[in-house]
Amino acid sequence: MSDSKGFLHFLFFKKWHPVPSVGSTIALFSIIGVIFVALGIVITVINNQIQEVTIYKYDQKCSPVEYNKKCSFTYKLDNMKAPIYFYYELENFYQNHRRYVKSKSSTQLSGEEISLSDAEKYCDPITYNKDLEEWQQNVYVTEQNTQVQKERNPDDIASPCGLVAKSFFNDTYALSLSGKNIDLNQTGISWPNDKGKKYKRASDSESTQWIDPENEHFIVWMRTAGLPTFRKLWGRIEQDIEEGEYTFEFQNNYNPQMFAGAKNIVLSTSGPFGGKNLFLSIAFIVVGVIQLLIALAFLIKKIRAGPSFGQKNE
Amino acid sequence: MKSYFQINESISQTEKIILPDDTPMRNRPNTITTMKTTWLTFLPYAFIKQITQPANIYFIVIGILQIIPVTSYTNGVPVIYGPLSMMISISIIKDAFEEYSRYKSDQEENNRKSHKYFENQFIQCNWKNIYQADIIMVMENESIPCDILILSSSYQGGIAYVETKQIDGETNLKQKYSIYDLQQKYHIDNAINFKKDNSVKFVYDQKNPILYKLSGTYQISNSEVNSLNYGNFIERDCILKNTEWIIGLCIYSGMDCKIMLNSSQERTKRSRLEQYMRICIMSISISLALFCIMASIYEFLWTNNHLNYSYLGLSKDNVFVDLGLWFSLLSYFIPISLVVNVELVKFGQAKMLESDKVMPNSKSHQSNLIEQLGEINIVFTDKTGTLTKNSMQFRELFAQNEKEALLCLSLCHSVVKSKNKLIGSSPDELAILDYCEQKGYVFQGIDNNNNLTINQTHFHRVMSFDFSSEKKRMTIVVKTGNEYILFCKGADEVLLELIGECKHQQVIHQFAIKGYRTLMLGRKTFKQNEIDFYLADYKKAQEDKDEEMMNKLQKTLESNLEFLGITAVEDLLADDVGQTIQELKSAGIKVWVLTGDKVETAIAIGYSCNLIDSNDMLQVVTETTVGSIEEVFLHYCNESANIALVISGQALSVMLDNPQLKSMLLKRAFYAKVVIVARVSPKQKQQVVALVKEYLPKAYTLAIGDGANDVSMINEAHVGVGIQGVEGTQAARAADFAIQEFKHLKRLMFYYGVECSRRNALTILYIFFKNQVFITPYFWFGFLNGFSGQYLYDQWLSQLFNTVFASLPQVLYALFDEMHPSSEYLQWSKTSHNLLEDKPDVYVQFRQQPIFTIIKFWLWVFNGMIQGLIIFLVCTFSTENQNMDNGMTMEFFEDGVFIYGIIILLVNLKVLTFTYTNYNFTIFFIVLSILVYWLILILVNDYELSPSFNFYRYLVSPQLYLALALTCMLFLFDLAIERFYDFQIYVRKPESIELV
Repeated sequence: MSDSKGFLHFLFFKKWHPVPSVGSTIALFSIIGVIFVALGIVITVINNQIQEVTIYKYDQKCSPVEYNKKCSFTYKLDNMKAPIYFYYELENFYQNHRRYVKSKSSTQLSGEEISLSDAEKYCDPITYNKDLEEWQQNVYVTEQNTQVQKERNPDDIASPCGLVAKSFFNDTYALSLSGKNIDLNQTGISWPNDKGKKYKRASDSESTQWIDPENEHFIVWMRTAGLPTFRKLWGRIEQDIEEGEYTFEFQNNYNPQMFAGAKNIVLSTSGPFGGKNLFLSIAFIVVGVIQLLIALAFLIKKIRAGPSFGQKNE
Repeated sequence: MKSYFQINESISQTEKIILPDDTPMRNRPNTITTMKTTWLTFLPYAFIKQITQPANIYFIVIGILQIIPVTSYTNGVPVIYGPLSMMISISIIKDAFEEYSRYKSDQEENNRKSHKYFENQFIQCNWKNIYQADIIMVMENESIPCDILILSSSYQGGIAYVETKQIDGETNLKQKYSIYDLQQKYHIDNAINFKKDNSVKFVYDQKNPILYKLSGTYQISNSEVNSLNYGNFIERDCILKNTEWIIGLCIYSGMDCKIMLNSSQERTKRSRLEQYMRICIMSISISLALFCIMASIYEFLWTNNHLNYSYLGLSKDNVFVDLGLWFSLLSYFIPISLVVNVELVKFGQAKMLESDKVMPNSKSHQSNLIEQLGEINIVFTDKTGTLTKNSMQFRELFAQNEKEALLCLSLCHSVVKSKNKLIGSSPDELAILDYCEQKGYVFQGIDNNNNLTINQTHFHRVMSFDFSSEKKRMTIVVKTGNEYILFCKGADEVLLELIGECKHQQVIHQFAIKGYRTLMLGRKTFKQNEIDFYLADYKKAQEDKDEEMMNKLQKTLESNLEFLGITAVEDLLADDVGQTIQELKSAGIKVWVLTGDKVETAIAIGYSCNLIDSNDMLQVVTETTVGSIEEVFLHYCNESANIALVISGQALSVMLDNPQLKSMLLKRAFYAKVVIVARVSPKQKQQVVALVKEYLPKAYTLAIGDGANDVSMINEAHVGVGIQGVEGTQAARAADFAIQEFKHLKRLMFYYGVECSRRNALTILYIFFKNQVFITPYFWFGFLNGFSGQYLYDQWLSQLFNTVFASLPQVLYALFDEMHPSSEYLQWSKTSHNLLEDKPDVYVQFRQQPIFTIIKFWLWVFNGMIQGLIIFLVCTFSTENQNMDNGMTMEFFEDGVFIYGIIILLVNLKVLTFTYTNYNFTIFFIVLSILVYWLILILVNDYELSPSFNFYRYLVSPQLYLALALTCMLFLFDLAIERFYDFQIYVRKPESIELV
C-alpha cells in the first residue's frame, strides 16, 4: 500500500491484476473437479438411502375403472423410515401452459372481492359459476376437504375463478395395513406464508366460494408446476412403516383421459438434499470429470507445446 | 471542409444595397447558429428524433404488442417502455449536451468583437449585432466578421492583405483592394460624412456557396455602372494582415456567408466495429424472426392437437397473434441498451483520453472512432509540421552572384514588415529574410505605392505573381532606376524547367540529401519598351481577375530565366519521430508520406526518420508520361525486395488518370515497404487516400497532418488525426482526434487504440451474450409447454436486467480495464507510460485476429443460447418434480425467479473471464449487481408482484444451492476457453496480404 494514498483510496481503487498461469489453471480445475466428483459421489450415496416408490396409473388397478367412486387396491411396500411423503403425480398435464397459468386472480385468492371486469380479464375463460365443472357448481369444499352442498347462482362470479382452480385435483386417499389405518397427515403440506396470506378465505366464504382457499390441497394445486409431469404433496406419513401388503383406498374423481395422461402415487422419504435426484448426482460427476479433463488438457498442451504455451502472460 | 457546388436558380437573382441607408436590412443579422433547434423546440425535436430511430421504433412496436391483449404476456402493461424511456432519456441528455456545446461555440463566435458604423462613428460591437448592409471596420490581425466588399483601406492605393487559411488552407497572404471610386469617399478620415453623400447602389449575387467568385455592379449616384469583382471581396473568417484597417460593407451575413454555406457537410465516419455491429444487428433480427416463426408455428400446431384438453381452455388461434406474442417475448435478442451503452462508454473513453497527462492537449472529436485507432494498417502522414517541427533554419545559399541572389531573396516574398516586425505566414521565407538581414540586406517594408525598400533603396514593384500550390513559384518584376528586373523564387523542378539547362543539379541533390528544403532563384532583366508591352496585359488581366491570362503572362515573362542561386533551409525533425516510425513499422503498419516538398527532400527526411533503411531499394518515379512511367515500373519488377517507392506529384497525376498505371501503382505500393509521394497538392493527398480505400478493402487508414492542406486527407481517411501545430489549428479541428506531437501517435494507437478496440469489441459481444443467456430460457421452456409463450421471470424485475442487474460491471470494464495497468491503483487520468506502447506485436495480434468478427459474434451468441439452455435444464431438472427435504415441491415461477438469479450471477461473473485488471470497486459492483437482485426479492417478498414470490423457500432448499454450484461450471468453462486461447502465442509476422 502506497503511503501517499489514503485508506479509502486503497479500499476502492486498489488494483487486482491476476496473471493466470498454466500451473494455477491446472490446479484450479483439478481442485474444483475433485470437489465436484466428490460431491457427486456423496449425492449418489445419499440418493441410494432414499426410498421412493411409484405406483403407476393407480386408477387402472380397479376394475372396472369407474369415476366418482371409491376404489381400493393393495401394493407391497418395503420398510420405510418416517417421514414418508405421499404424492400424487400427473403425467402429460400442462400446468405450465400460458393460457392456463394466467387464468387465476391473485386478488380473489387473497380473500378480496373482484369486479366482473377483473374476473373476465384475469380468469378468462372461467368467469362464472356456470363455467365451472359440474361438481363444483353447487358445493362448498371446506378447509378439511369435505364437501358441503350449497345452492349457487350460476351467473355469479366463480370464486375462485379461472382454469387453474377449475381443474383442481380432487382425488382423496387412505392407507391401511391389514385393516389398521395408517395416518396420512394432510396439514402443513403448503408453504407457511401461503395459507392465510396469499390464499385466504373470503369473509363470507361459505356462501360465495365453492372451495375454501385455505384448503391446503387447493393451495398446493394452485402453485403451478413447470414440467408436464409433476408431483404434488398430498400428505405425510409420520410413522415408520414395515414391510407388507398395504391397501390403498382412494376416491377416484379425477379423470386422466381429459388430459390424455396418467395419475400415479409416489411415496418417498427425504434426505438432506430432498428426494431422490438422479440428475444432480450424475450432473455433478459429469461436470467434475469435465473439469479434470480440462486440467488434463492444459497439462498435455503444456507438455507438448513446451514453454511457449502460457509464456505471454507469465 | 468539403465544398459542394449547388447551382440553382436563386443565383441569378440579385440582392441590392443602397448606401447611405439608414435602415440596413435588419432582417439579416450576422449571427450563426449551428444549433439544430432552439431551446423551446429542443425537447420535441429530440424526442421525435429518438422515436424515429429504427431501433427505437422496434422497441415501440414491441411495447404495442405488449399492450394488445391477445399478444400481451404482461396483462397489457407495456413494461418495455420502462427501460426504453431510460435509454431515450440518456440519448436526449447527450443530445442536449452536444446542443449546449454548439450553443456555446455559437455564442463565442457571435460575441466576437468588431466595429460597425453607427451614428457617424465606428463603435465596437459584437459580430451578432452586425447586419447586412452595415458598414464595418476591421483592424489589423482581426478576423473579418462577415462577407464584405472593401470600401477603403489604410493604404493609399486601397490595397489590403488577408490570410485565407480558414478558407483554403494556404498560408500566404492574398492581396485584395478596395473599390477604386470609393476609397476616398469611405476613408476613415471622412467617417462623419458617410451618410451625406449621394447614394451608391450595389447589386450582386444572391447568396450562393461558390467560393472564389463574386459578380455584381456598383453605381454612384447616377453615373455609369461599374462591375465589382472578386478582388474587392473578402470572405468571413479571413484575417486582415499588414493592413492597419479596412472599411467594408457587409453583403452576406451570418448563415448566408459563403464559408457557412460551405461548411454544412459533416461526413459521418464509422469504425469497422460499428459497421460490423450493424451487420450483426441485422443478422440477429433475422434469427429472431426465425425463432419466432418456428415457435409460433409449433404453438399453432400444438394448440390444434390439444383442443380437446378442456382444462387448458384452448381455442383456435391465429398464427399471427402467436407470432406477435413471441416477438414481444424474445425482443431481448436485440439488446435495448446496446447503442446507448456503447456510446456512453466511448464518450467516457474519449474523456479519459482527453485528460491524459502524458499526451497533453489531446482532443477527441469523434469518440465513436476510438476503437478504430487499434486497427490501422496504413498511416498517411504529412511531412512539414508533422514529422518535422516546421521551425526553419537557414542553412546555405549557393549562388554565383551572391549580391543578386540576396536581392532576389529580400524582394521576392510575401512577407510584410509592420512595426519593425516581419510578418509572414511562410516560415521558410521568414528564415530566409532573417538570413538576408544578417547579410546586410534589410527589408524595410512595402509602402502604399508598391515600393519595396531594401536598405533605403526603393524598388517599385511593377508586377507580382503570388505563390500558389499549383504554380509552386513566386515571381515579381521590380523597377529600379530605369531597369526592370524579374525575380523568381520557387520549387527547383519548376525553375529548372524555366531555366532550361543548369549545371548545378548536383548542389540541389546534395542539399536534398541532407534533408534541406531547397528553393531555386532565377532572374531576368527587361528593357522599358519590352515591359510596357506586358504591362498593359497585366493590368487588364488584373482588373478582369483573369487567372488564365495571368498565368499565361507569367509564363511568357519567365522564359529564358537565368539561374541565380539555390537556398537550403532545414526543417528540424519533431521529437522521437524516428523511433515512432520504427515502431509503427514493426507493428506492420505501412507509412506513406504525402508531402508538398520536393522528392529529394522527402527522401532525405525518409532516411532521417527511419522510414527508409540503407539497404532498401529506392524506386523513384518522377516521369511524367505514361510510357516512361510504365517503363520504370517494368524495370524494377522484383517484388520481394525491400522497396521504398517514391513518386512525384506529377507522376502521380498521370498515374491516377490511367487505369492501367493505377493498378500497377497499387500493386507496387502494396508490396513496397514505404511509399513517399512528394510535391502533392491537398487534393492529391485526398485522392491517394481515397484510392487506397477503394482498392484495398481491408486497409484501415489513418491520416495525420497539421496544416489546412491536410484537412481533405484527414477527412477522407478512416481516422483523421490532427496535430496542433504551427500551421494553425485547422487540421486539429477538422480531425477526429487531435494530438500535440507526432510521437503521441504511438500512445494513441498502441495504447488507446488497442485497449479501446479490445474493450469495445468485448462490450458489444458481451451485451449480445448476456441478453441471449437471459432470453433463450423462454424459448427452451417452450418445448415443455407447447410454445404457449409462457414467460419465466417476473415481468417487472426483468426490465431491470439491462439497466440494473447486469450493466454496471460491463461499463466499468469498458472504462477501466487495462492489459497492463500503469499503476497499483486506478488512475482517472493517466500519468505514466503504458507498457503497451512498447508492444507493437500486441498491435499486430489484435489487428490480425480482431476480437470482433462476424464469426466471433455468432460464437458468443451461440454460447449465450447454450448457456441459457444449460441453466434452464439444470435448474429445471434439479428442482422440478423433485421434493425438497421438507417434502414440498416447487412452483415453476419460483424456478423462474431462481433461473433469473443464476443468470444474473453468471453474466456478472462472465465479465471476470475477459477482464485483465480488476479494482476493488469493480469487484464490489459485480458482487453488488448479483446481490441487489436477491435484496429486491426480499423487499418484495410480501407483495405478490406478477406471479408469486416466496424468497424463503430458496433459503431452505438445498437443491437450489447444488444447482447454483452446477451452473457455476459455465463460468469455469468460459474461463478455461479464455485462458487456453490466451496462453497461445498467435502473432504471425505482419504481412501486406492483410490489406486485401
